[in-house]
Amino acid sequence: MGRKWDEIRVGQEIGTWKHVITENEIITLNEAVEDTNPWYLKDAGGANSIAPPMLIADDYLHIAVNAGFELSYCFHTRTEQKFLRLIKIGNCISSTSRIVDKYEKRDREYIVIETLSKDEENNLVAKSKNTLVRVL
Amino acid sequence: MNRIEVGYSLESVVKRPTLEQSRLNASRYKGEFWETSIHTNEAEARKVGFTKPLFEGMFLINYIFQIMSNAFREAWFRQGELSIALLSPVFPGESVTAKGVVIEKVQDDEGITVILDVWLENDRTDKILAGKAVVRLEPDQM
Repeated sequence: MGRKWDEIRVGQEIGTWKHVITENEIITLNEAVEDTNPWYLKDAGGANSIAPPMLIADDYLHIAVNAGFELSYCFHTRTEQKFLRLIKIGNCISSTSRIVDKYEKRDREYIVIETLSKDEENNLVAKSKNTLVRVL
Repeated sequence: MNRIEVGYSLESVVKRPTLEQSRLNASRYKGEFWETSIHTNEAEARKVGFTKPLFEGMFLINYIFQIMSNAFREAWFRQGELSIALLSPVFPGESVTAKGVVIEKVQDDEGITVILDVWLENDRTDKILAGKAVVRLEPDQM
């Protein structure tokens, strides 16, 4: 367990995840977290088709899992999120993550993942830093 | 949004999330990882000393997103920032409440910056996660 974790290096780009924001994704997320905000339901487009920022805020997890990182026994300890533009159904988001820190504290290993998310016109729509600790 | 002054409390959100909801959220991710994580699988959670799966951090942070988007609408999506420390685990069946209070409001020629303490607390009012949120309001959003 953890072979991938041991291979992690500061500065390493761990991957890119490109995805189109879909109505189905929004429905699944909003059912999971019981968010009934009507903005998220596609009807006439415009302001009513805004996507919840969570759909890009956790892109780092998609990227880390797709890259084969061993995250089964990790806790999330800190997050920093910055939202810069609205995202809507149909936007194609490309998120890229890299390791910006790795350290030990109280005999536990931590990594910090920075992620930049851009839309199809290369506009930065969000950036984040997430800290994970391995507990086993 | 003129009502938003220092000391103003955002409308809170109360939830009692279930393991099924955690698994539904995990279904958005590819691969088998989420079926064998401490967030969805009881046997795996026991390996790290818990009696049942604990919620993944981003799942819980969603509730902070909800109170911020309910209060600040598009401004939160366009110019919102959040810095949160996750302090203790939450398990299925526990009730959580997302709260926020405005602690600073800075006005300049181009708009207002609102700074808030935000947190999630359990039934015992222990903070489960806590931090700061910042949102920038343009003149047409005030």
